[in-house]
Amino acid sequence: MKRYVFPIFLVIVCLKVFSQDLSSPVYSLTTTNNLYGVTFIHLLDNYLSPLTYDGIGFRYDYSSRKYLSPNNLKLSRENQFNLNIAVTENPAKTSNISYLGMDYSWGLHYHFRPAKNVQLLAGSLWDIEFGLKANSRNQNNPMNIDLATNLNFSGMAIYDTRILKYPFRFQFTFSSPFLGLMFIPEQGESYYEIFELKNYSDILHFSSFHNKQGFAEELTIQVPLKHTTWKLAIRNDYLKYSANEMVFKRNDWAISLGYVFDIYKFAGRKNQPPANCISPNYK
Amino acid sequence: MQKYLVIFLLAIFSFSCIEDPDIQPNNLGGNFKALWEIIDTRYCYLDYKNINWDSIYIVYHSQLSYAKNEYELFDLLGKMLDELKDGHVNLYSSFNVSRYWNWFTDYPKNFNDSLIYTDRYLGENYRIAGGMHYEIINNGDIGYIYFGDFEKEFTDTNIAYIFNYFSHCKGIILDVRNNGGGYLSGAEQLASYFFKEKTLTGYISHKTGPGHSDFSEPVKIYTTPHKNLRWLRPVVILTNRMSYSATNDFVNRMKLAPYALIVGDKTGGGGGLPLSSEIPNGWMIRFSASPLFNSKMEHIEDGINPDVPKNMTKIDEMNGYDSIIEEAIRRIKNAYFSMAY
Repeated sequence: MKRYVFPIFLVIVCLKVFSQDLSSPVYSLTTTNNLYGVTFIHLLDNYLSPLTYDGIGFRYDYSSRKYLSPNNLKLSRENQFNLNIAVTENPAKTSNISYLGMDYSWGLHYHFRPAKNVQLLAGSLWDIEFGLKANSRNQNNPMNIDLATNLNFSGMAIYDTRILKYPFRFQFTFSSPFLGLMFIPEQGESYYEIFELKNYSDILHFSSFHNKQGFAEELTIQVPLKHTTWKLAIRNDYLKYSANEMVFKRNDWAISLGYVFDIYKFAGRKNQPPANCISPNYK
Repeated sequence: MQKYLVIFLLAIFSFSCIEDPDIQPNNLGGNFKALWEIIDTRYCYLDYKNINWDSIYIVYHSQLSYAKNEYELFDLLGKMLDELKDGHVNLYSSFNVSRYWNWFTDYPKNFNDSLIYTDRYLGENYRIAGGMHYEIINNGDIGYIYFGDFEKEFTDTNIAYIFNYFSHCKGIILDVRNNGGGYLSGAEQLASYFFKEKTLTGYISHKTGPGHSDFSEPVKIYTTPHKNLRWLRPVVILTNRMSYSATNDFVNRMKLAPYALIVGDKTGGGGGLPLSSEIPNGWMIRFSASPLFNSKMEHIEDGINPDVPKNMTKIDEMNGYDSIIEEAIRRIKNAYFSMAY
């Protein structure tokens, strides 16, 4: 039975609003992570330049995970958002490309528990990514947009243990796009021709393993201290894609520090907080 | 299970498909070859101008060994680029910019920027709006605008004030001599004030591959009249050889404007929309990548002929007259245009 559940994650499941029985002792909390880090980025954008650009930047990652039902610990939904801002230079340091990248993903994972304190998650994430690369030195091609949507394989391995008296959680995350759509203009076509003259031919491309290869891997260590649960992450993103006889690369390696907390949302008329929870929204 | 294994293996096999592009080394030969290849694969006028780029490689590569430093390399590459005879082709280093200026230096100037600011024309108290210098001339019945740079942005409000100031004038002289270009969108916007109806005024295409003849299907370019701001009376556009690039595009559109007349010298051309790239040592190359055409699908790279060819004369200049402006005044006053207004 379990082997048939996994392929179902290729289809997006609509969110179902649960009407919580507030007198019930079981609540499905949302675990959120906020990470802030430094990223070392390597870019190749043939629309802007044949050369690779390297630089440093800032990265913010947000993620949240929640079991779809507090009574079923096998299925969880995941939201992720990341923001990446960097400035890169060409090897001769005569030009720079400023980079702004954002990615939002949503998906589901199935939880396997093969051993005590070990979880393996397998699922799929749908994401939409937007990036802007600007080379102020260029004329008529001073910037290029990254715009794509992908379906990604997603997997995680979680190991809980105690070191000294502290509960540590080690988590390894891996994801890779396998199907999608991306915007890539032709190398000789200016954005004037695309957006002012509305010539949209050959700018959207189907993507899969033959023209888009990438993965994101992250190792995190989480430990709750007195009032805050801290998280340290090391992340490696590799992405290479091509269309219209151009090759694009974006590799970044980041180290981040952040915090984890769990929340439960009370909202609306049917999901008001119990009497022992005091909120400025109600009093 | 076997089916899933085959799919998995095909996916892994596909992983080897994206090859990294070749990047030339950062040395004399590498930089030379990188620049030559950028032009060979991406410059749009090699066929139109009958340039044998392969022969040019041989000629200039043979001189490469004489380049002892970056300055001499720059000069050699600049000379090679001069073979394209294109004002939109420049090599930018940290110490110099290569350029080809023969498209105007080989011809009469036909412009005196001191003369237009004498009392006969703009005077000292001319008005300035959106980069345009304007004033009423010729005893109050002709409006004169000098617009020297399409990099200067103007708004509908600027133009509304200008047209309102000229509201009692018989016509406008719009002088774009020595306007080396700027934003194409500015050329389109300025032309839109002089059209009555949406008009096909040109085409554009772009390179789709490395071959000298690999071009996209031409895309139509229309000039759409501004929705509520129009000058539908005589307008004379003044041009010279330094009317280039976006100005060339503006003049190309105005050739089809119903009440417009082009007076002066042929424009300098510059019909290729330039894009940028760079070579391994970090020098930037700007080059014509997308050719623009007129409404008859003819290249406008070599310039646009005026309706009324006119050169400035030294005698007129010495007597304080700009021959080309005077011709424009005559044309407006003599009601050259057959229209009702």
